[in-house]
Amino acid sequence: MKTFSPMAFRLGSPTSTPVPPESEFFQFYQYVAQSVAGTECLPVDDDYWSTIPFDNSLILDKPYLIHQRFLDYVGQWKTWPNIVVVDLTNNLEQSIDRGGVLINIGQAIQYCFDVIIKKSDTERPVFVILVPVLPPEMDLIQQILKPHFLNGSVLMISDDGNTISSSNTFDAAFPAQYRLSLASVQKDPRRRAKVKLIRRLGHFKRGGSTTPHSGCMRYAYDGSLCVGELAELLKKRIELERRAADGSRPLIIYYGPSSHWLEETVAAVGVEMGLDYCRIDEIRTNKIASVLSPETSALLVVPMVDSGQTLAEALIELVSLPVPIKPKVISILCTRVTNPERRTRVIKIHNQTITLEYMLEVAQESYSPGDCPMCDLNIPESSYDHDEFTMLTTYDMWDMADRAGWKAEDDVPVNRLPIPLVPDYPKLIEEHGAWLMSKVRQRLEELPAGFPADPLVICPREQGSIVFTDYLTLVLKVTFVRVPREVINIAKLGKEAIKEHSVEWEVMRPDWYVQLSTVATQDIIVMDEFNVSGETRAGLTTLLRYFSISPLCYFSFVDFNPEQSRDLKVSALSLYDFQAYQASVEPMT
Amino acid sequence: MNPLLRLHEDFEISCNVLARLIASRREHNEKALLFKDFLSKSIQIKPNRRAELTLVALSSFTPPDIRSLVQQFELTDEAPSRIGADVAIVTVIQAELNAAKIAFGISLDVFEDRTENGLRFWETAIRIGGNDEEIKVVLTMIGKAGNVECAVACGRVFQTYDVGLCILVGIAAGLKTEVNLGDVVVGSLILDYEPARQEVDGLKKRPTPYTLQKTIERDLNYFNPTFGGWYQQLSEKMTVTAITSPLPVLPNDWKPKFHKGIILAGEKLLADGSLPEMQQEFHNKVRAAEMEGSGFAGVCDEYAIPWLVFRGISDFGDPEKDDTWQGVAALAAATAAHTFLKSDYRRKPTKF
Repeated sequence: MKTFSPMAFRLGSPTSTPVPPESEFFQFYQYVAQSVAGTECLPVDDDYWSTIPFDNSLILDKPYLIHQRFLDYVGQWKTWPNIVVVDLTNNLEQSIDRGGVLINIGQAIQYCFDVIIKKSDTERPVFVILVPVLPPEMDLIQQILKPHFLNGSVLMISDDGNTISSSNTFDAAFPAQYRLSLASVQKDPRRRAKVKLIRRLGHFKRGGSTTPHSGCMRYAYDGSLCVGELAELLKKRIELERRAADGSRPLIIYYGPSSHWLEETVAAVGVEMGLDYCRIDEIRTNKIASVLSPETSALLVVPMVDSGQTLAEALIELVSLPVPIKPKVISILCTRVTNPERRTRVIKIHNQTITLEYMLEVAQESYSPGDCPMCDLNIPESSYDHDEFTMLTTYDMWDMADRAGWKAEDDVPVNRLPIPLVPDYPKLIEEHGAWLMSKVRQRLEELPAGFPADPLVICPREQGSIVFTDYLTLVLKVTFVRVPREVINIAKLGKEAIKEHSVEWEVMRPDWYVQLSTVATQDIIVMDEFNVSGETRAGLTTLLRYFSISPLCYFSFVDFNPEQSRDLKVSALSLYDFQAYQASVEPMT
Repeated sequence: MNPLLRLHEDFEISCNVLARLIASRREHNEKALLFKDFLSKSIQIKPNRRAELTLVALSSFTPPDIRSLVQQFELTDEAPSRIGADVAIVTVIQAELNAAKIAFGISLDVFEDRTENGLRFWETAIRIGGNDEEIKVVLTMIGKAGNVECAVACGRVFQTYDVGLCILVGIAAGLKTEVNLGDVVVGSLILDYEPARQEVDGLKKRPTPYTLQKTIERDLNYFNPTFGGWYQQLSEKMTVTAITSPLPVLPNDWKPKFHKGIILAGEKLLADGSLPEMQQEFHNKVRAAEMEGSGFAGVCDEYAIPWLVFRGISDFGDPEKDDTWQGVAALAAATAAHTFLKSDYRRKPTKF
């Protein structure tokens, strides 16, 4: 076991706030420390933790004060921890220049090693610096800390989970898990929305509602899981507009024929801010029609701008009104952006150049007519409005797997032949997390009693399952128990083997043991990234029975043994299945 | 839950994608895994199409110099192919067809999906086995009562569809001492009471029994309509039934019962109250009598198709017999069949 201390810098913040051990942030720092240490980490005793504020004027005028603030903070420590988590990523504003800040932090760390730690004869700690983006290799900070990067006493982790580290401390799932953990603690609605935005795969035809299709697309976006975050972003944007226009009250017009979530977002903003809002096709009949004038301040909100066809339809409708309106355009999602810093895109519509603002940049994969691989395979057109199948289609499943990459199956049990290849599940799940989670929800809604009221997910503590459950927690708010593989292996041996080890567990009180001992719900879902022989879920079920719990259902992302699953007494659900399981040709030993 | 959501895409689309993906891959392990997926799904599609796609997939495993020869191989299909369906629901009269449509979620005003061999067919899909599997169900109406008519019509059904199970759903006369109006009797055995030998000293009865196939009998033994949600479904669908046929006056606590018993089948429309005597004569487990069961069971056996008969009790075969209970009884039978399929039917390997 090791110790850690967080240093939670809050750039752009005028005052400090406590970071108590029970807070989400503190637990996030603990997770980072444990990922680095590869073992359990506890906070150093008798310390009080709070954020280290640094307001914008100081960052711009006197960044060297960061150096002093850093040393003041560590100077209060009675004991040095094994791991110091220096957080520079969770800040109030994202656009301020960070170069000076980072260099001063680097110099402070250098000073700690060269003077403070040397003098105090303390074991060298590891500094883990959390930054929004990794500095380029030639950046001064890299030069300052290079020797420490090399000897492993400093590591840097960016928001996307990439690292500067001398050793392979982190497993392959770390980047995905880090991103999710960070998103779950961050209050920044944009980041949260990015994680929760559903990107559905399908065979979508491009075209406005009144024009014939002009090609195919791979993605349809659905903001229904992040309406709150999108509403918050839209509200902030409108507040800016109101401040700039001396408190004017813009009319919000929205247009999204296939985006029910847009209506919810706009309604949430309209109601909260007391603003009039109206769907574009209702504008002629709405009571606001009578008060419209050419001077009406209006915002046109559209769900997405890609080719611009939908936006063009909306603008035509507005200029054809008895009192034509020329609104500012805000798109929730946007491709082909012009200025990512300002979040704007310049687009030509009907020979007019329009500069629109957007909330989130997204990708689109387009195919011109005659060039679409899905058309070549005669795949039917997908619906924009909703998923048509709760399970994944064959093309989508294999396409996702191809893009995530394939690998040989690890840790094949002796009782069966390996699956020749398995997709890189952590990567696959992270890439399509929100959509897959919405499908998990759809599948669970099919249970006879509907979606469980208090779902508790039990899963192996393994890379794929961890990312899967992290996403579930973030998107569907489920709680989970992660059981180590060695415990599952013991459970596979039967009740007696569990009994034998329970004495030890009772003394050690590992997390999973405490959680299973105190389960207060019957909605237990045994989940695994994939099922092959059914051994893992059988082991987990035996373990649950020891605690007098029964599973409500089994869930695996891919079921390679649906024939066995159909014969179970408990519902076994998956997002994709086919019979690939084959018992070992070797006799079991 | 979104009612437009289906469990999975059509298997033919999956298999087409898989066959082309197999053909386009070079890496052996990828091809092997895709092929397992293909094999797993291709058993669900029509044989001709399966053969065609298998050829596409397999030819990619052959050496390049003979691949084009393999691809040119022509698959002949001399026998007209039949359409795959997991379950066929056969009804006799309009009230029974309406009830079956209501129970299986087909709009009453929707046109048939297919007209073949003089019969109209409506196709739908339902989830079975805890919602984890989707099966294709086809509904039809033969239009005329009688064992012969039913046998002939079912023969036509089987020429059009290759089905895994056939269910006769409709109304019957019940044994007053054992069942109530609106109850449902599923036949554990169909007894054709007509066969007889005319001898010098009179008519010697030779009733012919039709027994259930063991696998389907086992599924039926697991069936408990209460757990399966039969009452709930019946009460939900009752409102729709009221549109199609007048409902009898039902007490607030009306709850039909589900019986397993012997169903007598013959050529007579019983209206003389003789059913209790027939029970005495043939078997103490007789619960109902009707006019199609033996023809139906006989033709199913001929085609080696498992069968079941669900009958809602609409009268007691006595002089008081009328049509008041037909709609409710037919709906009770159809919803019971639907509930059975959803909760306890297990799909058997399809043998297209």
